[in-house]
Amino acid sequence: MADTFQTSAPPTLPSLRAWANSTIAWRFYSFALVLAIWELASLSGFSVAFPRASAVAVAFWQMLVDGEFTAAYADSLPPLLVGLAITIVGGVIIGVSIGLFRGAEWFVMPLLIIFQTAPVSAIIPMLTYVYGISDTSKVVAIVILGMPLVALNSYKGIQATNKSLLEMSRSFMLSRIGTILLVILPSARKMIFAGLRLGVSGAFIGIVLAELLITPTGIGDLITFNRSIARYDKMFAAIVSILALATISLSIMQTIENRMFSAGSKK
Amino acid sequence: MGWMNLLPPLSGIWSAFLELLSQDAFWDAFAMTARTFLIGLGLSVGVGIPIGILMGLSQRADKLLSVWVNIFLSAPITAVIPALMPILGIGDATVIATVVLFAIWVVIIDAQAGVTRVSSSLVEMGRVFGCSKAQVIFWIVIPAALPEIVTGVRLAVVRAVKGVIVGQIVIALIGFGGLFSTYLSMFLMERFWALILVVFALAFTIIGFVEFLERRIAFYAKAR
Amino acid sequence: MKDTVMSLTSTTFADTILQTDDIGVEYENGTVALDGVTLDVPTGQLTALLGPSGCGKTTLLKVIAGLVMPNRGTVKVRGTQVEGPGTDRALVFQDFALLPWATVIDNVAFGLRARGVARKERRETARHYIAEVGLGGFEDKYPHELSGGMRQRAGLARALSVQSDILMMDEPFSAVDEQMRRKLQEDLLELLKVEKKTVIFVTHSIEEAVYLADQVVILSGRPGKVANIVRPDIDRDGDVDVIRRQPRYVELVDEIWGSLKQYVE
Repeated sequence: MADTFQTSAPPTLPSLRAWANSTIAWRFYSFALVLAIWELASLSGFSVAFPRASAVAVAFWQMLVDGEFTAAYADSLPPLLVGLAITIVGGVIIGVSIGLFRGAEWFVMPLLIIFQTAPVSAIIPMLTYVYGISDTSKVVAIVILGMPLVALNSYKGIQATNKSLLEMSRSFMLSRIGTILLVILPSARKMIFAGLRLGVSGAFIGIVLAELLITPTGIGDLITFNRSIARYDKMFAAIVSILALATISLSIMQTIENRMFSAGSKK
Repeated sequence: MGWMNLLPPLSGIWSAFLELLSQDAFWDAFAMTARTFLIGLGLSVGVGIPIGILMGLSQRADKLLSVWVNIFLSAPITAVIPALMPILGIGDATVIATVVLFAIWVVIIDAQAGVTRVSSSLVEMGRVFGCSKAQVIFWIVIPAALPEIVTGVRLAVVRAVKGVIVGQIVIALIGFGGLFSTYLSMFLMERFWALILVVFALAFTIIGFVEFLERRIAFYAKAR
Repeated sequence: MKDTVMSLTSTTFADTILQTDDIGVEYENGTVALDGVTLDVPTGQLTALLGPSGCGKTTLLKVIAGLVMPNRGTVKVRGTQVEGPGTDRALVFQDFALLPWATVIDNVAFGLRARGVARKERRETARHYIAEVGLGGFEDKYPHELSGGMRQRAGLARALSVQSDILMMDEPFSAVDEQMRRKLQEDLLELLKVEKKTVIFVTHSIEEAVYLADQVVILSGRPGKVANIVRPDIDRDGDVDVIRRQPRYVELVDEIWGSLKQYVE
């Protein structure tokens, strides 16, 4: 039903106003507003280290053309993808297993919860001593920050299986394997997939932390190096690039998720 | 270097812990962490709740801001910390800003969700009995959104704890972050782990306390 | 039959407190919820709006309450057009719509608070109506401490305490179990003997409509239109629990079911 505050139905809009009210138009206003605030804040000159949005855009374009981004991401993406693969496969397997076979629950769950809620990033610098300044350190950092989220969500998804569906399967004499394949896993799909998004989000934090704290290569190095030579426009451009990459990856996953689950189950 | 050197025996960690408690450096770091955490969390809650409520009430505010809130909710904020250091200096301000950047988005999202999920019949009830728009907002919508707002604050506490530690670790010169990097560079693993345990214990105490508060108003949600 | 009803309502026109004229409501998605509903509500009587789910009876009540503005048509109370919610009408909600953080007395006093009545006075009034609906002693309980039936008594007390002439009830007893529903229906009839109100009562239960109403408006579904108006000629002066045993009650339920059947998919 209509908005509870506005009782009357909205009048039909002429096409120009309809366009000005469309989602894309609002997205544009939204970006324009923030960029304008950024530009003005910088113009007020409160810090030399806070470049104008336009200067950052120029630097971004240059770094793109000069191949600086290509070089940085050539260093960052492979460990990110490897770490992500381990995070996702390992996380789903762990989460589903402890969800299905309650034996390990008492031991694994507290660990997962600690890793999820405690500031585990405090441990990341220690990885230097184990794996040295290497891509392995990046991968491990990603797995530490991403995997618990994936595992916890998979576990919750399995746990949340509708009880009466389980009773229904039992009453129809469905085997345990059959119940898992036909009832439990399908009903947990949505939560598991949402967990993958959390895992990706954690993985990005992992790669950034590892590159800032342990292995100074890739995008993390691009940020710290440009800061050390006071090229703040380039530093911001590098930061914007990784934020944008994370956002785009996550919204692609969200879109896939919406497609996958809009047709089928509703919840 | 092997794992054995990195994981000292618990007895060693325990004595390192007792040692920590007698050090001024620890208490300075503790004070700094508590201060930046509380200020950052206070700012996130104090600014985030009104913004979230506004977004829940006004579709325009929602359309204008929700893209950014959602971007920063899941983006790797850690990447922004290096940019904060030259702007705000190596000190409280940078850590506070990190805490806010970690914590505020979830406060906004949950306050907004709380307001939009208020039962339409409660709002209609207010209108039927002659409430003005402001009365509907302050007497009905905001109190009814309180469970979600409190959940947002709890999640913000979790994120603020992470933010205050990540901020200090990336800066690596102040607070617990300074201690962590000193212990690591001097390979004082007992102290490193003792400090990790202290930080984790503090984190769980704070989060446990907030969960306790949240449960106290749980009847709210039940009664809907 | 319809003709006799029409003439009956027009002859009692002077006693009509509320009229709807050609109400049409169309949702944003194009669904026509109501299409030309014209209705007279006699003063001091109970009018039931009866129909299958989705027939727009709740929408009609919300139009009368001033919560939904119709795309066409008017609602008039004593000849004055309704532009929104007003002090002459009070609503009892299907889901009770009690504030979970407020005690019974604060919930009941809510309408008076919105009207700016001083705290002491509004609590006094609230206390009176809480007792009248049979909730005395529960003033300081919270809604989640009450059963469904008790919650709706609080909802009723809140609507009574603003002392509006018209009491609108939106399927008020549908969220409670059958035994409680019967009790609440009986208590409502007893209460209306004391409180002289005009009641507009939305229900999907034929039995409830026949049991309570002086006038049953039968709405057909999608789009909602008035299909028929029946005035149950049932003697309600005696004991409330004998009504259900009257032969006329059973006949009427059957008659209405006969005319309603075709609209149920």
